[in-house]
Amino acid sequence: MTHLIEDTQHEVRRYWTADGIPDLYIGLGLLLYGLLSLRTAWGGGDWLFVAQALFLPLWFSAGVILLRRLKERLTYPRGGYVAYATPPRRVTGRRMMLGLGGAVLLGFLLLWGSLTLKGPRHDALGAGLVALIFALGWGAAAWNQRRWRYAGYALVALLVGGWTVARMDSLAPEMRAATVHAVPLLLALGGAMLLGGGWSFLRFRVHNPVRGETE
Amino acid sequence: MSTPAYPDIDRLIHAPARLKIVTALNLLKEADFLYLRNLTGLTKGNLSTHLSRLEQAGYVKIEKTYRGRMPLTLCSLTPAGRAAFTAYRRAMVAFLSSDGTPPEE
Repeated sequence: MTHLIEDTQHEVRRYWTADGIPDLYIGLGLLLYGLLSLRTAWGGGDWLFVAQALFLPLWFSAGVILLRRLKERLTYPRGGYVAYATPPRRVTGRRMMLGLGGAVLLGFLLLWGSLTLKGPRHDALGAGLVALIFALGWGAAAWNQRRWRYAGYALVALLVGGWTVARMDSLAPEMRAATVHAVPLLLALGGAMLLGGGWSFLRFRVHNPVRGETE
Repeated sequence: MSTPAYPDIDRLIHAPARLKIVTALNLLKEADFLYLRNLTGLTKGNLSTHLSRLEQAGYVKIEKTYRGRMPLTLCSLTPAGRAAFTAYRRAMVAFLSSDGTPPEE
């Protein structure tokens, strides 16, 4: 009986990501941000810096409403509607502490890097750390949701991060500027998420045909 | 080796289909009939019967409304239902950890 409880809890938690729509939204955001970063790295007006600074907060704020609308239209008529309960305070508190700890560690590493490393090595450290954060984030999501495609995103981030650290010295100045802006990582991860999300979206539609009644 | 005492469990929740419904609703604010049907794999009639029994016991609140022109049945767990589920899970975990084997019927 305890297995039944655990399996059911697991299934309920996975439902939000089963349709691939969150992957598509986040992937598209990363891809667009990557293109914006590429344009900024290769020289652009002040408006590009403003657009880059505003893009992610706006994209993810709008995502709260847009994802709900998309799910109401595309997911709930097929798989059914759910509203998740707010997690208990101790869970949100633990997540906030983890986030804070990660931010402090990252800040420390960047500070250490800027004091001790110079030139391409410093750039490689920054770009490598960003890739590592993405890899850890998607790795944690893969573990939590037991989703192979999230492990795939983590692998993509790791590979791009490894490539960045290994090749930073030999890159042309323009490519190096783009790499410091995490362009290869954003484009690769965004592309992978669009592919993974698209495949999951199609699979969800095939496995959950519209029944013509909500009840 | 002495056999541990059979736990004092809630028989209404113990049935696999109802346990699945209550477990899911315990994580959710609310879910509709279609979602519960997909989750449990039950027929419409069977799911209705199980939900009615849980509603009669005061464990589940059922609200009938409309989404556009479509009828929509929203289900949520009541505080009594959450308490009953927590007590059931505690009893089962305690019993299984005392011996390691599931109870015999």
